[in-house]
Amino acid sequence: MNSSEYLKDWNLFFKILGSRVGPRTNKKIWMDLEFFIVLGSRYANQDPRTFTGFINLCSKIGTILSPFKLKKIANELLEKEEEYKILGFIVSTIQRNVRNKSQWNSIIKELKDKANIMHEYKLFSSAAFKKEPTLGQWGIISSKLELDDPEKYLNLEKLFKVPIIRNRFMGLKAVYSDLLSFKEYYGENESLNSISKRIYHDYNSVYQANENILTAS
Amino acid sequence: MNKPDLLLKALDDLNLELKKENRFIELTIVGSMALYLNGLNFTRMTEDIDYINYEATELFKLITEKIANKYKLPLDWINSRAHEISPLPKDLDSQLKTDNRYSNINLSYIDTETAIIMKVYAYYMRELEKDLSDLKLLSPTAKQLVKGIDYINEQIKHHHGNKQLKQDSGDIQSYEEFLKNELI
Repeated sequence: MNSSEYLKDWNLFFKILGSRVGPRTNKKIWMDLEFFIVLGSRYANQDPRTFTGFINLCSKIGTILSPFKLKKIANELLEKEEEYKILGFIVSTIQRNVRNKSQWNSIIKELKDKANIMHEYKLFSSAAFKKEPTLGQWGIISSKLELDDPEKYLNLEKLFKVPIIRNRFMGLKAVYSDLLSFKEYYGENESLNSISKRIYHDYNSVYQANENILTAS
Repeated sequence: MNKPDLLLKALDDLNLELKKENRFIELTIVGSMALYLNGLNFTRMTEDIDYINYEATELFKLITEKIANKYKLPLDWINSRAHEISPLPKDLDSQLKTDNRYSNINLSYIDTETAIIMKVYAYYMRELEKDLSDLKLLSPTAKQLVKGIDYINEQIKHHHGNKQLKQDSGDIQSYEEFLKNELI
């Protein structure tokens, strides 16, 4: 998949998750949740409204995300210093709202090493008259964002109804939730080995989850 | 359907409901929707309809809430937050444009230059990235930026007096330099 296809898919999946920015659509798409978050550090800065909506989304669903999976995907996917800076900002925003803070510390430390925060990066390609200090901690230059108004660019009601989000909030482990969500969209044809790669879980966990789901049904 | 078109559709519903009730209203649109009505298709900018010069009645609130539910829009899809801006730019009334598409809504909207003046003021006051980003898309001329700076001066003088204006003059001058560097 090339980068413009990824961008298109990312925007589409963000609409499914409740983004109020950009045209409405009824198209459906599946994307792994943590993959979507990591990819957001590359594509969310297309405009301030999209970025604000995305950060608010990350903050709202931070408690159901897997820090280990995010780290794994970031290591596979990210290349540029600015992508590490943005993911660093996302992760530190999430960390403020979660109880398992220590689990997030190792990813924050790793991102800080790769982000080179002394080197400033203009988030929207321009300077800021007054800089947003929380972004500055990651070497990112931007004016203020409307981070205290989560509903403005994000439909929270829609977000919490999306099955993968709802399932995780109801306590379903990430591997079960991801497996069910993948199968719901793609059907049963793909091998567990292939699925495990697409949902970024190890084969044994996916195999075990699949066995348990089959037994339960 | 993009967001501005959806908001215009919602406005169409508002018009039909007003027609049923035999009511007429006058709305002056400011903000991003005014830019859309001026033919500038920055669809990502438009999140709501900002109006001034109209005091919402209970009927208006009831109808707009019903429409919000119908189209899954936020409850403040049409709002008068901009109403708090006072005084409005001097030439606003004489520069207003009209839109005759609705039978029971007398719709007018500000021109692009007035929108730029208000955005220059908005970015100075709110310091929000979206205002700067909108200004970049609007590509203001140096003359329009000066008008925006004049408007900031008028606002401060009106609300806080000459003494405060004098205190803020350095900051306003830096702001003008900043905008010239970033936008011109």
